[in-house]
Amino acid sequence: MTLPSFDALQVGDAIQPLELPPVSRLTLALYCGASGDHNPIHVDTDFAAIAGLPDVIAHGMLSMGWLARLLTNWVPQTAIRDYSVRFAAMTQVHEKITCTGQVIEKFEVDGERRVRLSLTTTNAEGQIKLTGEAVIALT
Amino acid sequence: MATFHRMAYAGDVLRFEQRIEDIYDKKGGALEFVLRKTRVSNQRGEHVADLRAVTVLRHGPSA
Repeated sequence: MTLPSFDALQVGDAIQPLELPPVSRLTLALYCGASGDHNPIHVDTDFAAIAGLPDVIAHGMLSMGWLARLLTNWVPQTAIRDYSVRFAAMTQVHEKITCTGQVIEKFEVDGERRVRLSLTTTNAEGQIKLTGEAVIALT
Repeated sequence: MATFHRMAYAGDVLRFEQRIEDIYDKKGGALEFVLRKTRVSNQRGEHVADLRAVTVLRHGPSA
């Protein structure tokens, strides 16, 4: 994987978005095992109803994982310096999520050229589920 | 938030040392925030990552 050119990137540039298939119950069940997060709110519809939700919801860290995949589709993992997210809204089962990233800053730290990206996951209606930021080294 | 210092490789043994750095509230105690910081190191004691997480506890109105 070749690194994108720091010089060619401009503030405002978008990276290739990641469009995911609708969130399935199978994905949520598998992610329970993968993550060790066995909170029933992610797999048990009865439990979700008692909690006042229409149906089960995706793990926050699953969305964080998708945004990390957006990054590693673009650059090697070794280029990621910082990565953070905020959980803005719940991701419901069956929602179709798209991950996007946009360059918001170019800077240099200790001779290393870096870009800061703003990140989001949104559903098909454009509702923001996660916001985040990442710092990528492009020396 | 995660700041990465080193790669972690298959076979590494990682140590997560977590501290509660702060607990504070907003809206007269209706929202309580717990800030946790975690230092990740490998089996050679090398610094792998620093993690920071804020958890929000929502307290219902008191009876």
